[in-house]
Amino acid sequence: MNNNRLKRLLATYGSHIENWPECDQNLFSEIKEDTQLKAELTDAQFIDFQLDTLIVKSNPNLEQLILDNIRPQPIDLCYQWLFPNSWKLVWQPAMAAMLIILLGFGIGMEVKEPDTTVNNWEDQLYWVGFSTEDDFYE
Amino acid sequence: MAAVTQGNENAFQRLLHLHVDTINRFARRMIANSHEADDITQEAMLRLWQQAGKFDPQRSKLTTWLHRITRNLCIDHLRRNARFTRLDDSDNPITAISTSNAQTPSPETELESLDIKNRVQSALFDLPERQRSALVLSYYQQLSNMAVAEILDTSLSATESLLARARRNLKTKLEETHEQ
Repeated sequence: MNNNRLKRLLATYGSHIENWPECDQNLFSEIKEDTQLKAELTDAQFIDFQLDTLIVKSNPNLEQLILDNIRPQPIDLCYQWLFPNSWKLVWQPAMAAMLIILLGFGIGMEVKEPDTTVNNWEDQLYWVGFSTEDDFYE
Repeated sequence: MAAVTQGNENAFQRLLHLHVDTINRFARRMIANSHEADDITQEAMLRLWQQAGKFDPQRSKLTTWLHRITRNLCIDHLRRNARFTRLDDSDNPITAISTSNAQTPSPETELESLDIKNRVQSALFDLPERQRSALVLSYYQQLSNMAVAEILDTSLSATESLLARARRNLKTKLEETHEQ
């Protein structure tokens, strides 16, 4: 009974006892007592030896790359501020709109109206040149 | 994990530090191209960040959950790129050599240049996906049978059968390449 189970364990988990289910690890010592099982163990050791040569290293920069990906960019932060998910933060887009209107008022107050009065004789002559004959004799 | 669900970046950073290397090694063993394996790792860890709320600690361990996500991403990738992978095989030194072995009658000179690692890797990639997953998860990732069964969505006895078949096939493939 144990022999069959041991064969099964060797075929499934190999020769490293730490890979075996904990409840079966005590059976490992019985392998040395049976010639057939010893042959199975040698087979398992052959595969394990080959598998152990395959060492794969992880990418050391990956952690930082992932952290950079989850951190929002400044443009994303601006977008989130302008278009918040919560109604409690609706004052943010309202304030942004108000600032734009105030800025428009400010610029509007600073701009002077263009002077349309004709102050010198050269300008008068220039404008006369554009006037029609009827305007001239009025 | 609860903190990650609430968007705590420090908590995520701690989890990332704990798991990223393990998940990356798993992806690199499942996908031949290491750059693509790195992309899959990134995607898996981003899902941890974005979908942490979906994780149920009463159903499985975080390691198991992450391995499951990564395996699904690997399968998606393999299916999506099956045609292109086949075309790109010549770029992969391992597959390029194994392909030429099948075509040329005396590949001894080429095989001499291969080390054991390449032979094992080639044999591992030749295994059916489920067998390879079972072997990698159990042998290299040191996951319990329960966890492997959960990731593969199968029973414990079926997992044991998969592992036994994987090792048997691997042995056959290794012996074949060794004889050549």
